Amino acid sequence: MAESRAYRTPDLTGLVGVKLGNYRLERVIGRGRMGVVYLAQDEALLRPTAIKLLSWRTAEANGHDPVQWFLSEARLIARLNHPRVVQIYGAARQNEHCYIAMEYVPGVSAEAAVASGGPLSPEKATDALLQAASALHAAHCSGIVHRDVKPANLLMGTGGVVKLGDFGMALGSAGLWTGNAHLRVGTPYYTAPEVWSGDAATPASDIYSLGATYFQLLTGHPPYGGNDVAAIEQAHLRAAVPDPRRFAPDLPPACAALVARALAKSPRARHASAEVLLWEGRRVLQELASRRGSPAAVPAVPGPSREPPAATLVEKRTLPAAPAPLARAFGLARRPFSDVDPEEPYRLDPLAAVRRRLVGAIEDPATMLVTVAGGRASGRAPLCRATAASLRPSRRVLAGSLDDLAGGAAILHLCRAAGAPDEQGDEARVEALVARLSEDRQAGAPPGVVFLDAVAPEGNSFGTVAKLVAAAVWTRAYKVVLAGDSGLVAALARAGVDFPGGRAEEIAIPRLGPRETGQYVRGWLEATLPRGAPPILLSADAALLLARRSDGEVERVNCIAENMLMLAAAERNRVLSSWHAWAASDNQRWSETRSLAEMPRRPDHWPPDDVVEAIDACRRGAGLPPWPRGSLTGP
Amino acid sequence: MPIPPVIAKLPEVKSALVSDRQGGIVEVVREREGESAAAVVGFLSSTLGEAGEHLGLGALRRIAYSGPARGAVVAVAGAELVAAFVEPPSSLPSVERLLSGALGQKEA
Repeated sequence: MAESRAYRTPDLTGLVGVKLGNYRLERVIGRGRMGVVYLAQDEALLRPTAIKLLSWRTAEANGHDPVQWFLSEARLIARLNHPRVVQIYGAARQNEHCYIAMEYVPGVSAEAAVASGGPLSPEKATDALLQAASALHAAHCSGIVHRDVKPANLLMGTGGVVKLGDFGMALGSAGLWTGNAHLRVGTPYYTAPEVWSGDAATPASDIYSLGATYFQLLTGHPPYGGNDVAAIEQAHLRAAVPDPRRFAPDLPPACAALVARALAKSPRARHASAEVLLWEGRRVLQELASRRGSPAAVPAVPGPSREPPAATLVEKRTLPAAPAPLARAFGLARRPFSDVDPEEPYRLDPLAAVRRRLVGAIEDPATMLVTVAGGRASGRAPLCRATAASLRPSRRVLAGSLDDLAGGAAILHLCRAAGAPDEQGDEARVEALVARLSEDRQAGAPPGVVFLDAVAPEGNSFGTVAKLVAAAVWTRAYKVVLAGDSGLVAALARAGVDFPGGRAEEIAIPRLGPRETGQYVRGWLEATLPRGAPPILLSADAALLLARRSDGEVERVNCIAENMLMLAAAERNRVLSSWHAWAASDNQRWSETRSLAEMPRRPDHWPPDDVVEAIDACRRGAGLPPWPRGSLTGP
Repeated sequence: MPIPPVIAKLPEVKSALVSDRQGGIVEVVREREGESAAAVVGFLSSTLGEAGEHLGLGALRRIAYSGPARGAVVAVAGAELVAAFVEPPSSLPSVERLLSGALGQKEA
């Protein structure tokens, strides 16, 4: 402190031509309370750079060590790596000058844009809000509260890009517990009520400031105008939240509703986070687009590409041909009991009813989340694949599985399938995906559907899943279908996801009973046998045993039934009996691991006593008489 | 129902069975593959029953099948089916008559 106070306040505006490090100062492009900003040329990298020079006097007047204050800003920004935050290249001290070298954003501030051109269109204003909210969210996630969000700190660059700058007032998370946190900083027009009351600035007060900024972008006025700071303070503290339509009568209600929420007096009544504000902003953009009946202005949120819907996990799979032994023995062209066929397993109840319910829930405008509960072999994965395939022609459908990929990788896969940019970290990936799907929606497409299988409440990725669902609820840009354990909706509620104005539908996949198992297997055989071929029959006891040994789980039924066909093919037999059901109960598909010559041989005497007991148990359950005994020779 | 003894005792009836309409085996004599045979009998009766309806033949009562070495007769008995496998096939008409009588079926 003593050392820094030894510096004398220099004239910071007369330094054109001076070289600081590699930077030659060219002209003053801004003045703030903390210093002066120059456009400079980086003579090493040959790029324009913004150089912010510290004004000692101001810093000292605030009672801070100027060097520490200056460096703290540099360090704070350096912690952020976000495309919508002005990037810092370095910080240094040269003689009496302390400076930060920053990304130069050509263009004007939002404040200057409104001052010169009047209020922005609702689309442009909302797009700027989205980009600033995205930057704020990144800052908040890094423990940084900006504390001075205002139109002057939104830099509007080329191509509609908006960047949040000037973290000079920002506090890192450590600072929140110091006396500095309670200093009222910021600009009166945009300062949150709780900060006026002397409370520490928080992410919620940044949201308020961004709401006030949005108000000004929409109307050309701050929410509470005038030159009397005391009156402005009282208005922030006590006046009703002004309706921006007082200044802009044609403003869509969605914009006014977003303003009202962001400017709520109580921090708890505002958006729960900058990310939620971002999501609501996306929904507003969609509404603006649909209101105009044409695609909205293309938002400049980073990067989604515009190619048609990309291939997904589902589409990469092709319907398989029948395994060669089954093709030869029975003339089958398509593989029966396939777990990737989009249709066959769901032609018959109860699975057909489940599928109808799933499709109905997805088509219901109020339903944003559908959960499909069932065990690993319940058929939930093929059900989702089948449903996804049937939806795909009319909307963007993305599918992934947390079984195949860890959470982050699964989200990355979805991003790539959607044409969203590769991002580092789950947060950024979800944001990119939401941006991509919101963009579709703005272009007039129906809501996309994201299928995610193997979701478990206790899984490592559940937080990411919850974020994906929350974003769907807020943006209404897409729906989410989660398949996995039961209780997912309750687990999401515990994770803080609620469904205001939307619904969550929970669907459980039932187990197949003996009768349904028989119908299911016969349905498959009928569907895959060529026209005119002799039938393949399933005995009643084979159906009973199959239902029992598969526990009625569709994928187990598929596996065992295909193995039964392999056994029958080896015997050149077209009747599937209890012997086949008993011997074929395996977790692996034999068509992939064994030849027909390696199939088990039927014993001379069938069924042995222990199997008879098992069959009798099944028969009792089905209300049938016991297996007939001991009558090989007859009376 | 049990297999009618008059049928089961005939030397030309090599095997016989009773199944439900779905082909689930209920009773069997001298038939090693009774379960599979019952499944086929169930399929046969449902398929031919449907065909008979299409042809306007009325409800199915009996099916007789004669091959080069064996024949078979399947008769409907309420909710069940009785099947007898006959050798030589030339004995099929007499087995049919006995089976009809045992089941109380009158010929028109």
